[in-house]
Amino acid sequence: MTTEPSAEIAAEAARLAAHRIPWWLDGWKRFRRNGLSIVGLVVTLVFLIAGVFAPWIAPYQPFDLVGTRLAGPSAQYLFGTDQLGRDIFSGVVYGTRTSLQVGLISTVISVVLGILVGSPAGYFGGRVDDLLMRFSELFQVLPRFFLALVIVSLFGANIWGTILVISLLSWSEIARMIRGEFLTRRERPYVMAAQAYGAGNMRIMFSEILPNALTAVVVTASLQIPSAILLEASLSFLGAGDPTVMSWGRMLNNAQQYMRQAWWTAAFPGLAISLLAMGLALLADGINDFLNPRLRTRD
Amino acid sequence: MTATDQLLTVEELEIKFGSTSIVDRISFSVGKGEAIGVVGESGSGKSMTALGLLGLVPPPGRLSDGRIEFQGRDLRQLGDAGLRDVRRTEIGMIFQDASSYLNPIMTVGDQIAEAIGKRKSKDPAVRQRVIDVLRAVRIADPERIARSYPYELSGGMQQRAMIASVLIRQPRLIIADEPTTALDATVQHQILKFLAEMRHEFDVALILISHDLAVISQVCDRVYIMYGGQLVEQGDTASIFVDPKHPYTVALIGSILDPFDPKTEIVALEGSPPDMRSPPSGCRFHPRCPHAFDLCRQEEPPEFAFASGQSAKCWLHKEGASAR
Amino acid sequence: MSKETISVEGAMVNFTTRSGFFRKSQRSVHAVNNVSLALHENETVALVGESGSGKTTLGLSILGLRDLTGGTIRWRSQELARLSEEERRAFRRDVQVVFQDPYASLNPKQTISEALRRPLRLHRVMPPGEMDAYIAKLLDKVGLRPSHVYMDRYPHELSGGQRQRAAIARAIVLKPRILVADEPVSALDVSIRTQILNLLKEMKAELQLSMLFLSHDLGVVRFIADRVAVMYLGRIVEIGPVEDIFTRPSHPYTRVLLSSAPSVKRTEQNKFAVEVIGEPPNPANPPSGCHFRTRCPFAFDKCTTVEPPLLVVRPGHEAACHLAEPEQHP
Repeated sequence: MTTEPSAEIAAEAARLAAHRIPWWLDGWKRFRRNGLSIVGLVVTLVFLIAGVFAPWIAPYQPFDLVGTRLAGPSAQYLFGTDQLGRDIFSGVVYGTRTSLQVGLISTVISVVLGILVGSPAGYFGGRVDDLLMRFSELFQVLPRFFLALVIVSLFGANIWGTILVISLLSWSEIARMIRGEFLTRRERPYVMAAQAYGAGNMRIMFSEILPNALTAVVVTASLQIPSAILLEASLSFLGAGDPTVMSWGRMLNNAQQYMRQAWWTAAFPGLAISLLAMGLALLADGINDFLNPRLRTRD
Repeated sequence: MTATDQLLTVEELEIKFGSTSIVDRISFSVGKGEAIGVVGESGSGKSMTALGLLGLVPPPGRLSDGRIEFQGRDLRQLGDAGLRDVRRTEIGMIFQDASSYLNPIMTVGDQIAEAIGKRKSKDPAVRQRVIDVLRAVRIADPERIARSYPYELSGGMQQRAMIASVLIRQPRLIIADEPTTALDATVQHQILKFLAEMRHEFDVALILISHDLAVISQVCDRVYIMYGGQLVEQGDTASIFVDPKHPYTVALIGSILDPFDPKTEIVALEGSPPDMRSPPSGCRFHPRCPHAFDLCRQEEPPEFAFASGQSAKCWLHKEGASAR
Repeated sequence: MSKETISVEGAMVNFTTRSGFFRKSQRSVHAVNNVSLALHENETVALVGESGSGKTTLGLSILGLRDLTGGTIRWRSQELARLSEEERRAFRRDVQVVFQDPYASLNPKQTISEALRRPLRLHRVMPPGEMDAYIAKLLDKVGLRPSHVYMDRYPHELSGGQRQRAAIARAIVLKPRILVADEPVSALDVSIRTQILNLLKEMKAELQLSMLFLSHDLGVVRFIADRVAVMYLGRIVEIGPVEDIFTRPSHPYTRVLLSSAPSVKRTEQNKFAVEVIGEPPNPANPPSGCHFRTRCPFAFDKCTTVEPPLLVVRPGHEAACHLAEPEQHP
């Protein structure tokens, strides 16, 4: 075993070297393969740009009374005006900000909570698992709107209240999923090998197992975002949202009375919600492909 | 044996995945009541060959060429329905991990009855047949086993149950792909013994696929050695062991660690099996062969036949043996 | 007599499961049942047994990954259960493992060099700057050459044999003195198997390892072991030097294993021909007295009532069977 590598081994090494491309490029190729993922990416990007550059894209401030009431879509008011004469297009554009903020922030919080609770539950099992899972189940059975109304009455109708409510309602599903990922992996040989060379539990949970569970986390998170957005819309629709920010749900709430005579008051906010939710869902699928090299197995 | 005595004759079988040949033009035959062994490591194409015979190659793989003659019929001419019939009544297949192929929510007896199309039959004649076949695979308490669910049985019992579900159809040929690899040694021994005796009791031929030459030698009359999708040597078991003609066979025999043949050193075969997407030029084995010379790198050797009935695909035998 | 590295004394590992509607009824499985064993420097002891024999559980206990329900395991004469934190760290450097499944032995998200670097970093064995060079040399040694190609590879880019080499490299990166190998070649192709076995033999000689080699494959065992311990349902039923076990086995179960092993040397094998009766018993409810009696062709009445202790057959060779007799020297 101390001789020079034979020609065969050198050829094998050269072959390995030749097929090398960086992982993100490899992932991107996989992502590209699915046309729907590209659609999802484009749609999401459009909304992202709309949200970020809202002040430059929206012709008016969303709460300003700028035109005749319930005017139909026109060159000046692309999506028409609502019952107070506010530009719906600007409302939709600014509403994008709200939706994205709520969606992203609440998802981040849910994911962090989910990891903190799910990892030890899955890794340690036994009593710890029982305790943590019972705790998380408490949050699963909370009635959503009731909770929202409670928070609103305690803290007032506030965007952060909405974010809090959505986080509280969503984290337990993520915790459960992460628990499953940890359960599957904790008896794997590479984990036992790490235990054998002295890695402590913290290190194993977050440094050995969690990176492997991340793919599932990212995918679940990407699906959480559209859920959160829909939830925010529902909450605003019920009047429990923040009155100082424009949100699609609030616009739908307002549109209830006027839908029949002014279809545009409901159609455009509704369309925005559906499109963003769908775009994110398709993107989530693509992210899954991006992160997961399909492993080839032998004979 | 003349061609008409053969139960199964395979000629130039080729199985491809895209443009890659996983099985590269192999030919073999099985006579009535004969037991042949197919030996190879992972990537050799041995399992794919078995699937190919039964039309079970998973897409995107496909059987791209070759003739498969079974009891006088060309199996490739049969459509899906025809092949299903053949699979149901004439050729049976046994796989490695019996528990994956047994339905966990049906009793063993019901599953075996299902094999002859009579699931959950109350007909006492059918139930008797099930009991009889369970007894035939040497299960001691067939009535109890027939009532049991697969998870209640040990690995060995599950394998026997699977064999029973194949035997009850009275096939002429059984293909067994690594049937004992997942089992304990003592159980493996019993199942192999049964397979060896089964041929005579049930007048059924056997194709046994394994990576373990010792297992094959216990059961089979003739052996086919596969490497890189090709048949590199064939012959009757005794001759192969006494006088192997192909360097790969020599290496395989040399790697056998036999509990009754103490060795302090073994010379390991360098390298690994070829990548079928870009196999080596000429003889596929040449990168790992201690005797390779120029011709081996340039041209693929033909099969050379020997008086003993063996043949080997190796340029070492260029002189002194007639090429097929 | 070379130094003892690990000493197992009366080890017991029980698993209890509760079943029944109210989880009232308890069943105890004695996975490891009163096992005593010693490992020495530069020695390979093979643990042979079928599934349910307890060999894996015993191996994990020696690694400190499973707690004993009874008995002790000593490392450097100290009880594992009583190690101080510092001693525990030293233990974790000294005892390593190679597993059976090369596809699950390496963390899929870590490159080979990262997998080897982590133990080094954890134990602060050397300054970080020197680690890469050390790892490269180690990869060369285990046959992953040229090492710079394999350093940045992920496990899924390697074949089974290559992954196992990487797993072996990780096991010896901290220069342990004790290695537990749990069926390290069972999942590999025959031609790769011999390569890996040769590698293990080399590493054992170089590091003077105590190797505990778990296997069900008797051919492999004969090649690599110095001593062999045969386990059945949690007990050691026979233990002795490898040649003795293979040429003059004493316990009926050992003879059964020998006669069931796939072999080409049929005439040699037939000398041990013993037919075993029936299926392995339920580990939760083993037979009284000698656990093997229900399948043993030589069982007699004493076997039902009295559990046979390990009797000395000849120096260094013991068997737990009432029929075992010490060899008479003329």
